[in-house]
Amino acid sequence: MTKYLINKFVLSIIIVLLSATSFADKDLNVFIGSNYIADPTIARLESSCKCHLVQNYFNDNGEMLAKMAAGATGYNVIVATSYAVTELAKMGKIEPLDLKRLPNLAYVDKNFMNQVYDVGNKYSVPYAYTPVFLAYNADKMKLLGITPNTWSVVFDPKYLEKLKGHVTMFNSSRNVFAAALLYLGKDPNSTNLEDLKLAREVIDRASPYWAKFDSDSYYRGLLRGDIWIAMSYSIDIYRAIADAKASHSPIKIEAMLQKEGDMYELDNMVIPASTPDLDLSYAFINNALLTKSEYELSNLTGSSVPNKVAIKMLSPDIANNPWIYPPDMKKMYVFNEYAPKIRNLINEMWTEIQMRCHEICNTCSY
Amino acid sequence: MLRLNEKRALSFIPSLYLVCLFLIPTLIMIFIAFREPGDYGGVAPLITHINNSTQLNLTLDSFKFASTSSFIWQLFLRSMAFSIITTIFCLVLGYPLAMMIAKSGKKYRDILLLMVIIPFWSSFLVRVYAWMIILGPDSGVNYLINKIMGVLGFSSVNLLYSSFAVVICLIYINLPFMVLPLYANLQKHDDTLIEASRDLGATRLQSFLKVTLPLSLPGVLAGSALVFIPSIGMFVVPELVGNNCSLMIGNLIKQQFLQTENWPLGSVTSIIMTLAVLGISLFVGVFASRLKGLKYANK
Amino acid sequence: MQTNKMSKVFLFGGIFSFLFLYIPLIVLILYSFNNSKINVGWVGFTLKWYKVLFADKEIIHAGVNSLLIAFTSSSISVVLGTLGGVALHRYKIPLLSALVMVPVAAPELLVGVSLLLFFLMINFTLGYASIILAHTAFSISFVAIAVKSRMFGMDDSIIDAARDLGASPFKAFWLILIPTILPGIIAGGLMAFTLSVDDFVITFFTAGVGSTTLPLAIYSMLKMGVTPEVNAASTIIILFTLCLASIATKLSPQIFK
Repeated sequence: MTKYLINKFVLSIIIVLLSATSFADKDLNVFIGSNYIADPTIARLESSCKCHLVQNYFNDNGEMLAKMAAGATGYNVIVATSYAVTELAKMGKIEPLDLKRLPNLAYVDKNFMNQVYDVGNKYSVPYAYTPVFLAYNADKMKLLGITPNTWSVVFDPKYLEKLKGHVTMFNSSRNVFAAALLYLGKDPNSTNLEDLKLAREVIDRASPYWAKFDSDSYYRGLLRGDIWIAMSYSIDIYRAIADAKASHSPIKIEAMLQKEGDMYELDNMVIPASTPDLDLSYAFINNALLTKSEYELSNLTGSSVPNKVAIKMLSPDIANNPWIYPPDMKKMYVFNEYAPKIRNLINEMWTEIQMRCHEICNTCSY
Repeated sequence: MLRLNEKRALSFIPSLYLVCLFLIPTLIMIFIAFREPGDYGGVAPLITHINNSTQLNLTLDSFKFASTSSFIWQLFLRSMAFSIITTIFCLVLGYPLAMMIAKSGKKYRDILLLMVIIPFWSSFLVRVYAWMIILGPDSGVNYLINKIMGVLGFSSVNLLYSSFAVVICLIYINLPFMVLPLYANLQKHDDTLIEASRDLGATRLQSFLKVTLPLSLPGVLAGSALVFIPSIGMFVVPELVGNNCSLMIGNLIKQQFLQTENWPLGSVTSIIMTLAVLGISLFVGVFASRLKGLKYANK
Repeated sequence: MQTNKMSKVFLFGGIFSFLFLYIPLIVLILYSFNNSKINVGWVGFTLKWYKVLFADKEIIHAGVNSLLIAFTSSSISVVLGTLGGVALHRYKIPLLSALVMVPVAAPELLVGVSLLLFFLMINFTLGYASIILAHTAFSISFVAIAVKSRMFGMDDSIIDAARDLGASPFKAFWLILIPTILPGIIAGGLMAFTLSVDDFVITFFTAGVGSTTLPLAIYSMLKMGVTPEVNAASTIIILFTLCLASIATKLSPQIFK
């Protein structure tokens, strides 16, 4: 009896395993920050390359860099934010691009090419971008008489007194430091030690009022109503507003850009030096740069895309949305790379900022 | 001669495997604690050549940083406090449960035991998620408690994203680890001992305190260790249901390896955590053996 | 046993603990059938979250990965653990017994981090292979302990008798020893299988390209924002463990002892 049962058990597992190996199309592995490729684009790509697209997610560019630095291989394409491109190139982890193999680069808006972090687009081509700004609970702001058109709202105790425990900031040193530097009227990419020290002081002063460092589920807090103002990505807020509408929620979420300027995360396609299939990598990037793909991405996810034709195809409520397509790109900044010394210094400060407990926060029940 | 060969044949491969995939990795981690962090994550080269002079890059900087940073001590003490509270509550909840199973008839015993095993075998993430629903701001429980708080004149509280939620989840996911060894111990007890103590005039409470409890001490210790050790290194629970004030030492370790890329500091913190676990286990072990010795000495 | 105050205390305490264990799971399962995107009030019965779940290729892929990894690692650890358990029973081997006992007591986080560093140091690509190697490392101990405790008090003379009657060491091992300790091996193997399917921490550190397991997938769903799809996935996991646990208890009641 026992033997019979074991046999059956083993047999059933073997069947499961065999059926698992049967989808044998080659895999196209993309290392990407979030759900950043539209479904119709994936379907088109998979049928044209006879491959199976596998998206591997990272929470933050730091995590991606740590894994790549540590020798992760197997990815065909990485979608990396501005400064991460420089770091990957310096580590020797990515391949110089043969731009001749990317004819669809012609569709990309020239304003987004040739950036400081990759002069001449030697390694990267821009795919999409995501502005970072403050999103808020409209009714609460009205009630408190606060207009979040300035970073002061999340850094100045004058405002924070009223918002204590209802603010979230990203769980990312780069974003929080950049916002603090913008608030101080400094260059958000400053590596001046004095500037960084000032930024640290500003963050230390403000962080007791913040509820959480959160770059993953903050928009759910906005939706629930316990978070009133949050450092946000445009795509998350686009989705949150749609969700609120769909569930007939009484909570009204709005967003605006800040007058000191805002960061935007310009995401680029790069090819790892260790790519298992170079042709597949190029095929994927070419496909993603198509006007149709870029249109689908912006239309379905609310991402901003560097493709003028695609923007014209969009409905006005996306194309004319100031926090998706900012009217004045001069006040939008990309992240540049830090020298290793500066980065280690900021990381050390960040560890302490993030790990220290502030007893003031009102959600602390113990 | 044949015997020796058999001994080798049996033990060689398992030993080799565990040396390669447990001992060596642990030694590597200890070694990394003394290195310097690299420019792009990882560690700096062990040996550098500058102007014909060779330099060996080994340092105690990470140990110094860890021991002088107040926030690391804060995290560490909080992790200890959470784990100790968790262990105590698991004991309080688990002891009656184990006793009930051990004392129930043969028919029900297996079913009851299976009922403890099922939550224990389903993913702990699922179990944390169950509490995320119950404690969530939209749930009836939270609503009810806030109603009561409102009537009593307190401001409303958020049950989820608090230290309370972290501890509840730690207790919940670890409770079966306490029940199983306790049951294994209690079930072996000889009922005649209790009867004897009752015949000699002990009250039920006395016979429990003087007979059952001391006899179950090995089970209590095994269960406590099985609860305490996984609790202290937990990083997922504070991440999912905690706030800034409920992060634990595991969160720091994870952050150092996956976000801020400071491997040496991460290694140092892991070593401190492991030493603390070892220290506590030793202390409790010695304490327990003393206690037993005393009991017998008194008799 | 007649009822008295003391046993009443234990009875009520025990029932309370059972409620504590089960109410959250029941709530979780109920909400998997709730026709609402957020886990608030009861809106109506639906099976749509299960449809969503089964249409989710990534979750299915992750589930298959989990089974594949658990099957491979528990098979390897059954072989190595049985050898180790028999060796520990028959001989005094301080090194092996330390190597078997310490991983059980070591914090998972320590094991995960040190394995990550080890794989990176030797330039071993993170993926299926690294997860399987890591899971085998902690499973060996559980199998070895289960086998050793099964052999506790066993009369070794039957093996010596077989040898005296002319059986080769291999034959004596395979035909005499293995059948007698089979329940211990099965218990250890099932333990290894479930530990592997359930493992999060060690997998989290040793996973690589395309090797996402079910716990990792659920973790990122929980982090990114919860939909009732997670409830549906959880319900299926609970049912799966229910079956597995019932089989295990039928096969080998001493699995808990």
